[in-house]
Amino acid sequence: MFLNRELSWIEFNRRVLNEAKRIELPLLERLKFLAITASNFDEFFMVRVASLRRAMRSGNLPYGPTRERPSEQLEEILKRYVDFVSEQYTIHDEIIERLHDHGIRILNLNEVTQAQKQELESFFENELFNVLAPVKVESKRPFPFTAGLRLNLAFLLQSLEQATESSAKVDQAAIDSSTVSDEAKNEDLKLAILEIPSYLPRFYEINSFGKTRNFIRMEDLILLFSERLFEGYKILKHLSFRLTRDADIPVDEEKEEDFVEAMNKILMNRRHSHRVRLEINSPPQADDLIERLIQELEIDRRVVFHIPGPLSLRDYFWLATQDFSPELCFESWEPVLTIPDTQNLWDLIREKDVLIFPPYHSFSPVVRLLQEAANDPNVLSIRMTLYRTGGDSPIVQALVRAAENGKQVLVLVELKARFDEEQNLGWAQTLEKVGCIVIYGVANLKVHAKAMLIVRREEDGIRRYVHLGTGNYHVKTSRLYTDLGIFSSRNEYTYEVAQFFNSITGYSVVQLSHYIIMAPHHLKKKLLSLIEWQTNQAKAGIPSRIRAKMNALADEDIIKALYRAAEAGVKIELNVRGICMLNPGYVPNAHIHIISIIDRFLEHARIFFFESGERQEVFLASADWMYRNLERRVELMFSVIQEDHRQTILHILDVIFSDNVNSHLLNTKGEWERLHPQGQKPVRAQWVFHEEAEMWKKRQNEKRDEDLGVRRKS
Amino acid sequence: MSPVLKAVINCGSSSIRMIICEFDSDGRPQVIDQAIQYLPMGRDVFTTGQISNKTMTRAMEILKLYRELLNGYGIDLKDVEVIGTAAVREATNRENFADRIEIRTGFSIRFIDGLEENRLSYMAILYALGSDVGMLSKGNTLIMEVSGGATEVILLRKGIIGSVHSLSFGAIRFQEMFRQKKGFVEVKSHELEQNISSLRELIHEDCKSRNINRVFLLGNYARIAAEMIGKTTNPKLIEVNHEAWNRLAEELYHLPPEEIVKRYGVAAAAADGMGTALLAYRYLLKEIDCETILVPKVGISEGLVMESRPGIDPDVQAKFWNQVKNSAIALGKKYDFDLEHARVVASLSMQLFDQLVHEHRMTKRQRLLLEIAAFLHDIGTYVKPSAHHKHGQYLVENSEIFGLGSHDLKVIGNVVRYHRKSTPQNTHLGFVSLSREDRLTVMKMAAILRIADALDRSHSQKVKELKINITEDTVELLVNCDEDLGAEKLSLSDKGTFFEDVFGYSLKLIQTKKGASN
Repeated sequence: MFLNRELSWIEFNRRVLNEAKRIELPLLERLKFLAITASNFDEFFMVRVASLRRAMRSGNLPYGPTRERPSEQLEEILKRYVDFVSEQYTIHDEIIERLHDHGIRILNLNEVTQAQKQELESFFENELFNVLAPVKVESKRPFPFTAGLRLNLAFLLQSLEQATESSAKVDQAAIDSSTVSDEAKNEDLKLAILEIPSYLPRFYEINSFGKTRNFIRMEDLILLFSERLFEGYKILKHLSFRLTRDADIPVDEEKEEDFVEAMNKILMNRRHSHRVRLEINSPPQADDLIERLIQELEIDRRVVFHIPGPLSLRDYFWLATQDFSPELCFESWEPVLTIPDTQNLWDLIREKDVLIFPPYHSFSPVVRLLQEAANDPNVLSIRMTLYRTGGDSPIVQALVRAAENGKQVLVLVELKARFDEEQNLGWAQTLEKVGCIVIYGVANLKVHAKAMLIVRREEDGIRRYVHLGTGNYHVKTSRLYTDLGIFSSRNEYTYEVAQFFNSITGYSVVQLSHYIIMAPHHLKKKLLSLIEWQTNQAKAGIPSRIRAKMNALADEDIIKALYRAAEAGVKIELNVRGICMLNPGYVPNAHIHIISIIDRFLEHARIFFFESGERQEVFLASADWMYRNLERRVELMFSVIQEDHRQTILHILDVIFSDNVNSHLLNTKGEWERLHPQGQKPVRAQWVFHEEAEMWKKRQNEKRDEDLGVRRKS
Repeated sequence: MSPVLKAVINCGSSSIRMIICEFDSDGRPQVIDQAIQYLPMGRDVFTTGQISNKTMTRAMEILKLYRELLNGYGIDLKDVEVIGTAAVREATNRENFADRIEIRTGFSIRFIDGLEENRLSYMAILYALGSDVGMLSKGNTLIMEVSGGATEVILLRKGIIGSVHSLSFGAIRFQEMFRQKKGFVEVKSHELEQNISSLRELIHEDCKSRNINRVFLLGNYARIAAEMIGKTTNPKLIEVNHEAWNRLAEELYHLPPEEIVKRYGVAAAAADGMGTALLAYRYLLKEIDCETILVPKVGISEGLVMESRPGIDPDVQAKFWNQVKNSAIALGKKYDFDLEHARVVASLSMQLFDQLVHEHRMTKRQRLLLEIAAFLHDIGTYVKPSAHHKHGQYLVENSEIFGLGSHDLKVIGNVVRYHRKSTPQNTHLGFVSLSREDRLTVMKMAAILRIADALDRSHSQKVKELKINITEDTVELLVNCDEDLGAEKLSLSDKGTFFEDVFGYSLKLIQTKKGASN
C-alpha cells in the first residue's frame, strides 16, 4: 500500500546521482551533484539510520505505515547503500579523470614530484606541524574522542627500538620458524589517531607553472610527512576513516527550564552520541589495522564500510565552486529584480499583492522591505520567524537596526533547525542583546512557518504588511532554492498573520482562521477535508483534480485520502521532489501521475491546487505532506487570493508537469524512471522559468526605452 | 490625522481576552487584532471565594504579554480599558488583585457588574449586526449569555428593551456548587434542568405569548460551539441550526473535558464548563420556537469599544439612551407611578440641567442618570406614601434597568432619596458610602430634581417649560403660565433651599403671562 520511506529517500538520492552521471552536463556541476549525494547520505545516517538503530534497541517493533521491522529496513538500506557507494566512486573516478583533461589535477600520493614535495614540505613544517595533534591509543585508557563527520587518519606504529629488535628477532625467527607470532607483534604495535582539523582545506593547491592546476588532498599531504609526527616510531600501516554519529538527542523540553541552556547541552552531547557509520579508506593489506580500529571503536560491523576512494565526497563541493573555466559550470542565471529599487515598496504593496519567485526573481525586495522598515519612523513593530539564516545575514542586521531605532522587534527563532543550532544560537543572542524580543521556538514543535509582519502607522490608520513564503529567510539559499513568496497588506492576510504570531508568541491561544491555515492545529484537517470534498465531487460526476508540488509525501492519512480520491476518479498529479510513499500502482486504473524534478536549483516551493468544476483553490505552504510537518511542526498554508497570482501559479504547475528533461516519473511498479522528450518538444521547467523572468526584464527595459521622452526636431 | 486605536482587556470567569480596535473614518470600530488566554478564575472564585495566588500570577503574566502586544501597535495605557467581569468582580480579594495588576503591569482594572454587562452585550450585538441593525426593530429578540459565573438575559420588543435580567447561574459556578454539595458526583442532565427551571420560567414569563423571532447567544462557550457547527454568513455573525445546537449540547455534556479538547481542539480551560453551558442554553431555549440561533463572534469588549468610540454617532447614542429610559419607564409602570407627573418632572429637570450646565458641569451621562431619577422619584409611593423617598431608593437600588450598573443605580437611588425631606447627612450610610465625587453629583442632581418636582407640586402639569436667567446672585426661573401657581411657589420656597445651598444662588420664580413672554 505504501512505498518504504527510507528506500524512497534513497531513490531520491539516486535521482540526484543520475544528474552527476549525465555527461552532457558541465563537469563541475556533475561534481556538485555527486557531493550533494554524499552530503545527503551523511545526514541520512545521522538522522534516519540513527533513528532506526534506536528503534532496534528499543524492541525492534514494526512501525511506520509499512509496518516493517527496523532491522529489516536497515538491512535493505545498507545493501542499497553499498551499491550506491560503488556507483558514486565510479562517477568520482570518471569526473576526476576528465577534470585532468580540463587542466584540473588531483594528485595521488605516488604522483607527487620531488619538486612538488619540496614545496609541500615547507607548508607541512610551517603550517601543519604545529596544528596536528596525533593521539596514541593506550591500552586501559579510553579511546580518544572522535567527532562525527571529521576526517581522521589512523596509524599502526612500531617503536624504532622494537623495530631493530624485532627485525633482529625476525632475522632470528626467520631462521627459527620463518614466521613471527602475531600476538607478540600486536602487543608491541601502537595505534595512533590523527584528526584532521576541520578548518584545514580539504584540497591544497600546489604552485604550478603550466596550465594545469594541481591539488593534493589534505590527508595525502599529511601522509607524505607523517613519520615526522611520530618521532621514534616507524609507521607500519595507515588508513583514513570517518565516523558518523546520531544527530538527534532528545531534549526534555518540559523539564529544561532554560531552553538555550538545554540546546547548548545537546550540542555538547551530540559530539558524544551513538556511532552509526564508519567509513574506511585504506591501502591494501591493512586488515590488522582495520580490525584494531573496529575493536577500539566498538562499532557494529554491519555499519562499517570500505570505501573505494577518498572519503567525504561532500568536500568536493568546495572544489566545484572554485573559479575555473566557465565552460565547466552552468551558465550564470542572475535573479531578475522584479521590483525596482526606486519603487516605493509600501505604495506598491498597498495597491496590490506582489508575488516573487526566487531564484528566478531576486529575493532582495524581502531584505529591502526589512531594511526600510528598520529605518522608517512610521513603522511600529516587526515580527518574523527565522528558521535558518546566515549569521552575517542582512536580515538579522536589519532587525538589529530596527531594534536600535526603537521599534518593537519580535523574532521567533527556531533553534532546533537541524545542524544549524550552533549558528542559530549565536545570532539569536545578538538579537536579544539589542533589545529584540526573541522567542526560542515552541515547546515540542519545530517552527517551520515562514512569515513576516510589519505594523506601520499611516495617514489613514494602522496598516500591516506581511510576507508569506515557502522558503526560509536566508539570502544565500534564496539563490539556490525555488520558492514562492507573497507580499501583501490585505486584511484577509494581515489579520490572520497577526493571529498566527499571537499564537506562536504566547499572546493567545490558536484561533480559527480562513486564509492562513496553521499546522499542527488545523492544516492536516483542512487538507483532508479538501481531498474529501474532491472525492465527493468526483463521485457526483464532477471532474475534479488535485495538483500539488512538495518536497515529500509521507503522511499516512493524507496518502490514504488520496487513494480514496483516486478511486473516486479524482485526477491526481503530484510533483514530489524527494520521499514519496504513495504507490501509484496501489489503485488500479486510477489517474495518478507523480513526477520529480532534479535540476540546478533545489525544488522547494509547496503549491497545492484543488479544482472541481468551477471551483479552484490555490494554496502555498511551508509544509510538506509528511507526518512531521503536519503534526509536529508549526507550519503555514495560505490561500492565494489575487486572481493574477492564482493564474501565475497555475502556469507554474503547467510548466512543471510538462518537464521532460529533468523529470523522473514514478511508475506503477513504484520505480522511478527518467522521462525523455521522445520526439516531443523538450521542456525543462527551470529553464522555462528562467527564460520567462528574462523576457519580463527585457519587456520592462523596452518599456522604459519607449517611455524615454526623446526630443527631436519635427 | 493619526489613527485612533483602542484596546479592551476583559478578565472574565474563564479567560482573559484582549481586542485591539481601530476606528475607521466613520468612527466605526474594526477589530484589527485580538488575543485570548484561558484562565480558570471562575473555578477559584466559586470554590474559595477568591482568586488564588497561582491564578493571579498567571493573570499577571498574561497581562504582561498583552502589554507587549500593545507596544507593537504603539498603544498607550490611556487607550486601554481593562475590565473585570463575572468571577473577578465577585472575588473577595478583587481589590488586592486590581492593586497587584496595577503595580506589576500598569493596567488599572475596572470591575463591571451584570447590569452593565447587559448593556455592553446589547452594544456588542449592534456591533456585530453593523448595517443589518434594522432587523432588530421587527419582532422580538432574545439575547442571552451563559458564562462561567452568570447568565444575562435581554428581551427586545421591536428593538426596544422589554426586560433585562442578570442572574447568578453560571456553568462553572453550577458545577462547583454541586461539587461542594454532593462531592464529586456526575450531575445528571435532569438535575441541571431542574436547577435552571426557575430561570426558564422567568424568561418564559417575559416572552409569554410573544413569538421570539430571533435568538442571539453571546459569550465564549456559545462562540466556540458555533465555530464547531455553525456557518458564517456575516463576518461577525455565525448561524447555528437550533437542532444541531441541541445535539451538540447533549454530546458535549456527556464528554469529559479532556475528550472535548481532543475531539474538537477546544482549549482545555474553555472545555471545562462547556457542556454545562451548552446544555443550559438548550433548556433555557426549550420552548422557544426558533430555527436558527445567531452567535456573534464578538463579546462585551467590542460592546465597550462601540460605546467609547470617538465621535460616536449621536443617533446610535440617542437610541441607546432611549432604551435606558424605556427600561426605567417600564420599571415605573410596574410600581404604578404617575406617568404624566414623572414625564414633566423629567422634562423640567432636563431643561434645568441644560440651562445650568455652566454651573454644575455634569456630563451627558450624568444627565441621563438625573433623567432616570426624575422618572422614578415617586415610585416609593407604591409601598407607602409616607417616606416614599426612602422606599423609592430601596426599589431603585434593587431593580434592573437596562444599560445601568449597580453603581449607577446607587447614584439614582440617592437622588430619589433626597428629592424631598431631609438633605444628605453624615449619618446617612447610603450617602456616605459614595465617593466624594458621587456625593457631589447626587447633591447637584437632587437640588435640580427638587426644583423640577416643586414646579409640578399639584401633579397637574401646569408648568411645562421654563427659561432661566442668571444674575450675579440669583437664578430666575421664568415660567410662561396663566394658571395659579400657588402650590408650586409654596413648595419651591421649601424645596429650593437645597439648591441655594448647593449652587450658592437664591431662587426666584417669575411667572409671565402667556403671549407676554417676549
